[in-house]
Amino acid sequence: MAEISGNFANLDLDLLRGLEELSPPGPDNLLCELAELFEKTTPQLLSDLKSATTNAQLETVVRIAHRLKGSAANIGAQGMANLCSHLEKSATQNLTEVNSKYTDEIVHSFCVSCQEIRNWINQLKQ
Amino acid sequence: MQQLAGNQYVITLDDDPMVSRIIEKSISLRSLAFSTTAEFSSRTPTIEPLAVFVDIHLENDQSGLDIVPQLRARWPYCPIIVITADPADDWLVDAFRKGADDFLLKPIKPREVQARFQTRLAHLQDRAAKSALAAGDVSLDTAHRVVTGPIGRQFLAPVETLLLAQLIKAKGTVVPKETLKREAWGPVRVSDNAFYRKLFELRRALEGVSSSVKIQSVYGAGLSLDVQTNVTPMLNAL
Repeated sequence: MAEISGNFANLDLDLLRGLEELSPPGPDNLLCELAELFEKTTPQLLSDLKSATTNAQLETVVRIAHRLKGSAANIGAQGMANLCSHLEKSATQNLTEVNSKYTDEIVHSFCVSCQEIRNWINQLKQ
Repeated sequence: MQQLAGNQYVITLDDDPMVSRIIEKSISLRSLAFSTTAEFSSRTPTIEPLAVFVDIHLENDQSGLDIVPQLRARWPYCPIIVITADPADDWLVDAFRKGADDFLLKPIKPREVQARFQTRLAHLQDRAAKSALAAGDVSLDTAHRVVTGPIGRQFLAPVETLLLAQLIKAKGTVVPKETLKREAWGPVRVSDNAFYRKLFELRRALEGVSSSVKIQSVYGAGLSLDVQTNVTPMLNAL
């Protein structure tokens, strides 16, 4: 495996290496496909999450946070998964202000994670 | 990984489409993906998966666990592996009670998927082999309560399954009526009338699957399974 350097603070690199082993480099690369799926399906969930947080729909917040936690963890976006886990707990406890803060952080973490995953994949291709 | 036929597949019930792809690649088998229990339930009569992966928490407050008992009843020897993102999930206890065989934690790790899938599959295939009985050209699947022969396939009632299993195990020897009653009904007292009614149903089911395996009554002694060997082709050849 090529030597990889850079800032991947939000990622679970062991998990990404495990996914990379499953598929050889090329157009059908699993990691590329998963990254695309993650980038495609998450924005709608984030939008729903922001709306639910604003409207204090706590059950919806818990459900979406749980769903995002699973997806983020599966693609190795561990930082985002941790934030989703915190939001899931704070929403369960009805901490409205904290929920709003976590939601903003999750949106930011999603953008950073996508960038880091793309960087990681690009480095693997080189 | 053991060799599997090309037309075999697993099912993944998860609202995250990534999960199905990771499972598919991990075990090198096609995965049919469903995201709701309703969608999956509507397809169960027409599919025979090698294993089922079920996410506990689905969209719109659905639980994947709701479908587990139905899957277990339909496919007794199909590994059912539940998936959850929460390691302290109380739902896991419920999952095992409902018939799940194993679990996976998110994030899904390919090597763990492989290991759990292979272990569960081997274990359940071993159990399935032990539950299969045969006499002549008839085979009985005691788990699914299905008797199969060259003419057809019939579903049996639980008591009929137990009666036929006893007769097959006796390998042509006569089994007393009281022994059959005890094996099929347990300690419950059963009238001769009820016994013969069940026997009538079983004979009719056997006629529907084979013409060479029949239940014979031996007056005063009991019943036996008569397996006729077709000697005509051999005589013709002489």
